[in-house]
Amino acid sequence: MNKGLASEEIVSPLTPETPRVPGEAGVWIFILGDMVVFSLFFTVFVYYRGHDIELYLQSQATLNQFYGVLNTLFLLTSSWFVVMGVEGLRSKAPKYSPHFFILAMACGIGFSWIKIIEYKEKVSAGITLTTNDFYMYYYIFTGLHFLHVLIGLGVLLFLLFKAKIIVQRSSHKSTGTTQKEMTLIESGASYWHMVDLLWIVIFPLLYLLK
Amino acid sequence: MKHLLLKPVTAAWLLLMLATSLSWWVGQDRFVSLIDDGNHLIISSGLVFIAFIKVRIVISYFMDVRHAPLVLKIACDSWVVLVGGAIILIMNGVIK
Repeated sequence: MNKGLASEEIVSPLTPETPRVPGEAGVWIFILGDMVVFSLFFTVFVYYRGHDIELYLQSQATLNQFYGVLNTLFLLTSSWFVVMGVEGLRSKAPKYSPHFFILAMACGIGFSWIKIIEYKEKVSAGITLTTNDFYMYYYIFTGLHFLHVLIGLGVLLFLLFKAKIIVQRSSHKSTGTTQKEMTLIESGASYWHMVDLLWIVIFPLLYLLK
Repeated sequence: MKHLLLKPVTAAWLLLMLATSLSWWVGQDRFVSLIDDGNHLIISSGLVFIAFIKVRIVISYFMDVRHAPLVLKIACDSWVVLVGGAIILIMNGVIK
């Protein structure tokens, strides 16, 4: 095993001259596909909003904008921690990477916690999926996105374990992260950034539009 | 540690945090109620525009697409321009 590991190419610092896909190409096809599906949701929402703007504005006024902004800040910070974790594994000093992935997960859990509080408040006020069109879109968009967040937390847990293995290994031997490991880690990181990206659009559409 | 934190991506994160806080402040009901009704569409379009600038920053710096092959850059930028543009045009009644 050691021999096989040593024969694998160890990642080198990035240079702008070498274009490369961050992660597996297949993961990027999934990411772009997911982005296209959500873009259809966004345009359909804005289209129907234009036909009954008063109802949408009245319903939107009951949402807690503070929850929305706090969750955006959570996901942005989580994404930044993931970048730091990945950069650490690419560098010669990967020892901080597991800590960054733990912090990223903590932000993801923070997002989930706020989301659950928000859903609880809405349901206890009698607001459900069938209340009106705005809330139908609200529950579908945020619910599907929340599903992505939960899957993403699993992905981050995987990145954490992978980082721990790499750190443990590199403390015994001089081997760093292999190219194969890096591609896997970058794929997971790219997925988490997409979760962040989708929320960046959902936030103003549902919570802020006037 | 320092070499990790002092990267352009950290500046990008700070900018994103600032843009988010600014969007929230502008989007607050008590602020918008002070403004004439005619400006609502401009504010909404601005909020969507800022959101898609943020998306572009996430794609470039977090997802590292700025170092990706041209085809991926074009795919991502097309999404940003087409979706962001479509939302603003629909909202303003240009696309009915």
